[in-house]
Amino acid sequence: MTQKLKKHVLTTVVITLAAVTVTGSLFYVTNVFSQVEQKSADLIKSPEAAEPENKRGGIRTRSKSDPVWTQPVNTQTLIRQSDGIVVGAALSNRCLYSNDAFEVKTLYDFKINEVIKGNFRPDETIKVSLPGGLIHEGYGSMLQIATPGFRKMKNNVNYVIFLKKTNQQEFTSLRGPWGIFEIINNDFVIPYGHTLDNQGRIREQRFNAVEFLASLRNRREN
Amino acid sequence: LGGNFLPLSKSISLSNSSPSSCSAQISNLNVQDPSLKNAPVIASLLFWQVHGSLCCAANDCPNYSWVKPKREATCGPICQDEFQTYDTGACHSPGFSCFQIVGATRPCSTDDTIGCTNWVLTPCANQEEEVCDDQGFDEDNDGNADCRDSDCQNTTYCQQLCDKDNDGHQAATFECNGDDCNDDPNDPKAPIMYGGNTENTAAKCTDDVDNDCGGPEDCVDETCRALEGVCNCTTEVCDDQGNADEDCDGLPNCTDDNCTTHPACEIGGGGETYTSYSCFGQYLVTTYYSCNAEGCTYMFETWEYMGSYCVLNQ
Repeated sequence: MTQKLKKHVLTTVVITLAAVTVTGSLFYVTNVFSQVEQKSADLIKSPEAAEPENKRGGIRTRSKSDPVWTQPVNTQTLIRQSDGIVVGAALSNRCLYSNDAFEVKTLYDFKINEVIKGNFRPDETIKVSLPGGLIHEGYGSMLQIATPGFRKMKNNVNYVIFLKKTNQQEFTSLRGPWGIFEIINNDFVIPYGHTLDNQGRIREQRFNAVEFLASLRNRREN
Repeated sequence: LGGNFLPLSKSISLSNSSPSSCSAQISNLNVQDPSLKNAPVIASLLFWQVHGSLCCAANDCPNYSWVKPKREATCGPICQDEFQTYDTGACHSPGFSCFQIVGATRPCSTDDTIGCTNWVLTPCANQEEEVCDDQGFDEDNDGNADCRDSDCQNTTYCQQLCDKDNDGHQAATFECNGDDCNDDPNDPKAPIMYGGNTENTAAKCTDDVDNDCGGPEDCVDETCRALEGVCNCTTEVCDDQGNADEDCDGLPNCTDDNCTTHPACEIGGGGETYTSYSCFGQYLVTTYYSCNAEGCTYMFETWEYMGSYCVLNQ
């Protein structure tokens, strides 16, 4: 009987000690995590803590450029290297942080009217992202990423785009602005890629829209 | 423009039979075309005329032709001084085999009438005549296509394209390169808007028109503000319903820098348009965004040709 009582007391003590240890550990871990979360939340909610008062407000501008944007590329290369070629128009766009959150992109809802290359359907709307844009950073501050030489698409204007896949959901233009051609009144096609002459003036290029589109369609048929 | 750069190592001796119009001489030629390496006879017949045109002694250069300068080129990396030298535009001469002088490697004199030796000669890349209505091709390779090219500006095609409002001023578009900021034939105000017009009377300062195409309109134009009793500029009111520009800086309400901290101008308070600026070569790029509480949308951008390299003041 005494042996049984001792065993019972011992078991109770061990269980109690174990329970106290586990509870204490859980409390400590929870507390640490909550402190980390609180600090993170503070940082997110209070950018002014890291930024002097006099720096708040206004538009902060950074420039992004890529040598590819000013290197002309011929149409055959665009056709060969693109994941798709579509004719259509941007319905809307929204400026967002880029995937690495250091830059800004402009994400378009682009409605396809004609598929020249690629696995798309007419009337399908795809996501096309182009570099640069303007976003709120909170507390009256804004961040603009300027992309000199890379003219972006306007909403409700017709374009031919040579697409490059960036992930499962998004495309971008192949070779930056060289993969974008604006169709003007169905008369002309203007590449958005520009080169400058040695005096800093644009070397203008313009193609007959009918002939340009026909040449793309012919390659599709071939 | 093929070939290696082959400098002629010694000075060229010049012909004594200089035409009277040639008053200076090229003394040291660099020739880019290897085929000219053994052509001293050509080089010996080159003379440099005042203001840079070149000529040959009569009948001595049957296969070559040079023409007078068509456009100025600023002394830059090639001619290392602040004065101007001239681009002969020799390639403007169709039908001839010719050379183009692309620059000088020594400082020019203050009036550019002497100096600029060590010319570099290159074969012309293109000797075609400009076709004025072929969608932007620059056949004569002078850097100006179609109606931007002075060769085309008097053609019927370019006059119809570039002066639609018939005010005698070329449109300030890239294609036309003029100073008429409003060439819209359907806008009754267009004929009174052109570069060189004045904006300096009470009537012109209250007509909602940028008469002189200077950019600022009416009281935003400093000429108008200088007129007594016309503009009455005061302090900007950031939240007036009329979106008036009380301080005459062209920036009404929240677009005015003086309103940045006004409660009505907190971002997200309502749809606002923002502009930002960047440079691309000689172009000032103005980008327009529309922002609301949910974020910003790219609208469009304008490219303004500045005539010289664009630099933003930070």
